[in-house]
Amino acid sequence: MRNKPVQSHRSWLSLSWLNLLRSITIALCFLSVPVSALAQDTIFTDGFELTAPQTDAEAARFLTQASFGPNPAQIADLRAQSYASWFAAQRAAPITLQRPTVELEIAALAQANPQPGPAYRRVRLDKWWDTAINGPDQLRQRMAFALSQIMVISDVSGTLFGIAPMVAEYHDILARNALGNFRVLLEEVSRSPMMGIYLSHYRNPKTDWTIVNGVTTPSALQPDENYAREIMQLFTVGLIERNRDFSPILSGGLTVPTYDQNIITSTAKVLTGLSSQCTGNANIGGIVLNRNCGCSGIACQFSTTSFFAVPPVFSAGPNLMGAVIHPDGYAPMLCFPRYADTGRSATSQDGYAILPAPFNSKTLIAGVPVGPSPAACHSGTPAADQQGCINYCDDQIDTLLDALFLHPNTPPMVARQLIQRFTTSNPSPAYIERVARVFERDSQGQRGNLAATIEAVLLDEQARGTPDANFGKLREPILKLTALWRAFGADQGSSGTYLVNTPETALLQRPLGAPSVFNFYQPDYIPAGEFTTLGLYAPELQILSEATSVSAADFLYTRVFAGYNTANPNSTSFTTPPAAHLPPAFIDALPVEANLLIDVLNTRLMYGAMSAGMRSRLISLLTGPMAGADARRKALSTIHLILISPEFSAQR
Amino acid sequence: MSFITKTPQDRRNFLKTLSGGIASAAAWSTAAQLGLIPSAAAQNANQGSGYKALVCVYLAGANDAFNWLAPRDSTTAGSRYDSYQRSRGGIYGSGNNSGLAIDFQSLLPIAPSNQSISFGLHPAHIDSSTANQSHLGLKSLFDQNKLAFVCNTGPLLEPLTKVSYLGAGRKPAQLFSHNDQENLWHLGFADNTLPLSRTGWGGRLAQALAGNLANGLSPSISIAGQSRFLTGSAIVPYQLAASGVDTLDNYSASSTANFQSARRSVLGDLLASSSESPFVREYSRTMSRSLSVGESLAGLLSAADGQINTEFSAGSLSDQLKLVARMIKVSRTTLGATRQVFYVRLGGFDLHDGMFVNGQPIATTGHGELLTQLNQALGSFWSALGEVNARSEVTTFTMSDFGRTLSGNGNGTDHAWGSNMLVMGDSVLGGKLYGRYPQLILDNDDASNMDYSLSRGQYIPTTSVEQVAATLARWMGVTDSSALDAMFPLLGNFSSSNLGFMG
Repeated sequence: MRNKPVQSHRSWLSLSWLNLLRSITIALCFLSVPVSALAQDTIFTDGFELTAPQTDAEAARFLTQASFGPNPAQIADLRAQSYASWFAAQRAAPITLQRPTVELEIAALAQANPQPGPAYRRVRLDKWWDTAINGPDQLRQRMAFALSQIMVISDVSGTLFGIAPMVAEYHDILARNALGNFRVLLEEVSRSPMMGIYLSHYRNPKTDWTIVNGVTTPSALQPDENYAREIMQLFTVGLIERNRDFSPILSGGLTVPTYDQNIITSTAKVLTGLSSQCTGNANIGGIVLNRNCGCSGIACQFSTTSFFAVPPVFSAGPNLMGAVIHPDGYAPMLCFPRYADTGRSATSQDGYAILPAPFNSKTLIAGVPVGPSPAACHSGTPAADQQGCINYCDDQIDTLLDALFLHPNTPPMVARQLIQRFTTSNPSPAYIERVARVFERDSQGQRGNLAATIEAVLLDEQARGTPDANFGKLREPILKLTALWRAFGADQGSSGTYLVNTPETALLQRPLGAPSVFNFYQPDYIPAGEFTTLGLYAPELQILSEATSVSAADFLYTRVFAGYNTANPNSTSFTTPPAAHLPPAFIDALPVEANLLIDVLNTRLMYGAMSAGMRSRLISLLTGPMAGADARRKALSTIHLILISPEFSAQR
Repeated sequence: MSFITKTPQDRRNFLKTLSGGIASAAAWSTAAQLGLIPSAAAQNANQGSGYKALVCVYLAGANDAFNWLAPRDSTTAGSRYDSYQRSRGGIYGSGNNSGLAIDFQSLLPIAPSNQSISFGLHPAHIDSSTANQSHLGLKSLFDQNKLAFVCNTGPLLEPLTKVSYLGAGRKPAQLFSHNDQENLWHLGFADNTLPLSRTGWGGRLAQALAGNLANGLSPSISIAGQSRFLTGSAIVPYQLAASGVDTLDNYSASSTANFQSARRSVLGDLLASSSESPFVREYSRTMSRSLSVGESLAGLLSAADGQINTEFSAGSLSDQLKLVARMIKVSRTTLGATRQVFYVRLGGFDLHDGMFVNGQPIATTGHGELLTQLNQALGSFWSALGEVNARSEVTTFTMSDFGRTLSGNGNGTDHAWGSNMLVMGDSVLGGKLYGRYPQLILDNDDASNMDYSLSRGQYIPTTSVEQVAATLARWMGVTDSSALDAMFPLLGNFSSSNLGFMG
C-alpha cells in the first residue's frame, strides 16, 4: 500500500528525498479509502455541535450547498437520518459514470448517420444534465463539478471540442476520485491525455543534447512549460507561500514566491515523454477502430512510431474531430523514455553520456532534486535496461506529484477553493484552516482524503450556522438551472434529450467547457465598487453583467415555460416540447392557494429564507393582477420570478 | 422603450428613473450607477472637449509578437532576420516542423520610416474583403502611416538590465503567469499592492475625463465581459454582449399580455429591496442597470443613428468591434459623449502548440488564423470609423498578457515577457516602430543596445506599460504631469511619459 507517513506541517521538507524516491516506486494501491472509519457521529468544532437538520428548510439549505439542488424526496431522506449517515451513504452510492454510455450512444448514432464529432457534443452534455438531475451520487457529482472548475479542461474549442468521449472520461476521472484521495486524483488528471492535450504535455519531447569534443549543445526545442506552470499555480500550491489558514507568509513584509522560472523549466523537463498507450484494435459499440501497434509490451514505449501515433477516431469529417475514439485515446498516458528528459545526451556518439551539471539534474519545488537516469534511454535501449528507463521516467513524475501533494500550500489552496465552490466566497481564515487540517490528516491519519475534506467544508460551523451578512456566494448559473430541474423534476423532451446544448451562450457557463484553464471566473476576483470597498471576493460575479443578468433570465424563462402555452391568460395548456421541461404533474401538484404555494416554493428553492417583503409582494401579485390566472400560470410565473430575484441570486 | 434625451428635464427624469431602481443601495453604488464624476476629476472636465475614444483590443493568452512583427532585412548570415530564424529554431516547413520562424518571402515587407532596416508583418495582414466591400489590412494601414508598433513593452517596476534582473532589480510579481501579468497590463503599472490596483488605467482615464455623463451611460464600456482595465474608483464599465443589448423578454412594462406589466412591477420592487448581503445587492444593481440603461440603449441602437453600413467579416472580434462602431456613432450623435474607453477581446493566443498547421497556409491557420481574425476585424473597423467619420477621434491599440519564448517546444512556445503592441488611428504618427525592437538573440546581455534576454529568448521589456498608457492618456486630454503621475504612480521611474507616437 502506498501509505505515506503523515507529515506534520512543514516537517516534510526535511525528509530525505532519496528515501522518498525509493518509497514512491511502491505501487499505487490506496484506491480504497477505509470508508466506515470516516463516519463521525457528532461534529465538534470549538463547541459547535450538530448532528442532523432540524427542519426541512435546514435540510434544503444543506442540500443547496451539497448537491445540484434539493428536491422533496432528498429533503425527506436527509431528515430521516444524521448528516454523518448521509455522508456515509453518499460515499457508498454507486458512481454514475458518463463515458461508457456516452460512447455507446454516439456509436449507435454514428453508425446510423455518420457525422463529424462536433455533431455529438450534445450527447455528453445530455448525460451530464441527466447525472446532475437524477444521479443518486449527488455529493460525488457536485464535487466532480467543483473539481472540473479547479483542474480545468474544456470542450468549448480546440481538439476536445469534437471528441465527447474524451471529455466524458475526464469527468469520470473527477467523479471516481471526488471522494477519494487527492494524490490519486492529481496523478490521474496529470496522466490523462485530455489534460495532456488541453495543457500540451501530451507528446511533449525533451531537448535533445549532444556532446561533441566536450561541448554540450541543446537542440532548438525546449520542453513545453504549460502544464508545469498550471499544475503548480492552479491545481496545487499556488504562487506564494501560505500559512495553513491561507494567509500569505511574509518575509521582510513581502510575499514569498513558491517557485521561479528555473523550477518551471525543471518541472517541464519532468513532464516530457508522455504519450498514448497502444493496445491494438478496439470495438466501440460495433465500430472497429484499427490500431496497429507494430510492437508489444514495454517495447512499445521505446517505439518512435508509437510515441507519435495518434489513437484512431471514427469520424466522417477531417482531422482529429471524432465521434468515438479508440480507448487508448483516453487511457492514461505512458512514459516513452526516449522522449523523456533523463539528464543524458541524446546521441550514440557520446554513448548517451550523462550531461555536465546543471543539465544533468532537475530541481523541483521546495528544492526537491531529480538526478540523471542510471541507464541510457533511447529508441535502441536494450531489453535489460528498458524497465529501468521506464521506472526512472515514472519515478520522476511521482516525485513531482508527491512534492506538490506534500507541499504545505496545497491543503489551504484546495480547502479555500472547495469552500468557495460549495459554501462561501469569503471563508474566514479559521474556516480554511479547519478544512486544511482535515485535508492534511483525516481521522485515519491519511493526507488528501477528499471525502473527509468536503465533509469538513459542509459541516463547518460557518457553513451550518446562521450566515452573517457577507457569508455565501452568488449562485453559479448552471446551478440555478439544476436547482430548478431538481426541485420540480425535468423530463426529457420529445427529442428524447434535454436539448439544452449550448448553455454557455446565455449563462456563460458550460459543464467542462470553460473559456480557459482559468475557469469561468477566478477565485481571487473582486468586483469593482462595493466589493472592492468591502474587500470581498466574488468569483461568480465575474460572469454576471448587464448582458448576462438578462440573458440568463430569458434562458430560465424558456426552461420554466418549455411546453406551456401562455397565449390565453387564464388557461395554460401543455404540449410536450422537444426539450427538457417541468412535468405538468409536478406543477399541478403544487398548492393552489397563494400562501401555501409560496411556502412550498420558498422551501424548495430558497430553503425557507425568503424575506417577508418578497413573500408579500409575490402573494400580492397572485391575489391581485394574476388572481384570474390558472394555477399553472401562477406557479410557473412565481417560479420564474423567484429564479431571477435578487434573493435567489445568492446562496447563503 | 427608446430613450433620447432632448431637454434638461428629460435628463433629470431619466436620472430619477435610474436612481429609483437602486434607491436602497449604498451610496457608492449610486455614484457608480449614474457614472457621476467625482469633484476632483470634474475640474478637468474642460479637457474633454470634442470627442475622443480609446479602443483596447485585448489578445488573450499572449500573442506571439515576434512572429507578428519580425525583422526582414536579408537572409544572409549575421542579418537581423538570420538572428530571428536561428533563435526560433529555424524556418518552419520544408522538413523543419519544429522551426517557428516564418520564411523570408512570406513576411509582408514594411519599411518603418524611423528604422534602418525593413521589417515584415505576419502574412495574415493582407487587405480583405466582405461580400460587397473591401477593407485594408494591417500592412496597408502601416504603409499609409495609420498604424505604428510599440516594441518590447511589458510591465516593469523600474528599468532593468540583465544584471539587475538576475540581481537586486525590482521585478513585477508573478512574471510569466497569465492572469497576473494580464492584470498588470490592465492596471497600467506593475505593482498590484497599491490601493489604485483595484482599478484599471482605462477606467481611471475615463473617470477623469468624461465631462459628459452621456445620460447615465458609463464612459467605460466592455463588449467582452468583466474587465479590470475599465474599472475606476467611482465607475464600473457598462457591459454589452457583442450581439447588442439583450433586453428582458416577457416582462414588458407596457404590455398587459400574460400579466407582463404586473410581473415587471414585482421584479422592479424586488430589485429595489434592501438586503444585508452584498451579493444580493450587486445582483440587484447589475440587473437594474440592465433594465434601465440597457432598454434605452437598445432603442438607440435600433434607431437609424445606431446603424452602420460597413460590412464586417465574420467572427467574434468583428462582432464586438462592429458594436463599438455603432456605440461610437450613437454616443457622439445622440448622447453627446465626449470621452469613452472601449474594451474588446480575442482569445486563443496561448499557443503552446498549434502555431502552424502541417500542410496548411501559414497566413490563415494556427497563429495565422487568429491574426487573420484580428486583421479582418481591424480592417473592417477602420472602414467603419471612416463611415462614422471618427478616424481621428478614435485610437485603437492592442494589449496582450506577455511575449512568448523565441525558442519553441515543438509546434509552439511558452510564456515570456516583453512584447509588441499596435496603435491604429489617424491621430497616430504611423508607419514607425516605437520603443526598441530587440535583436532576437537567446540569452543576450548587450548593454550597448539595451538588449537583454533569458535563455529561451524571454525579453526583458525596454518600454514599460505606463509609458504607452500615459502617451495615450495625454492624447485623451490628461496633459498635466501631476495628474499623469497620480494616474500612473510608477511613471516617474521611467525616462519618458510620452513615447511620441500620438500626434
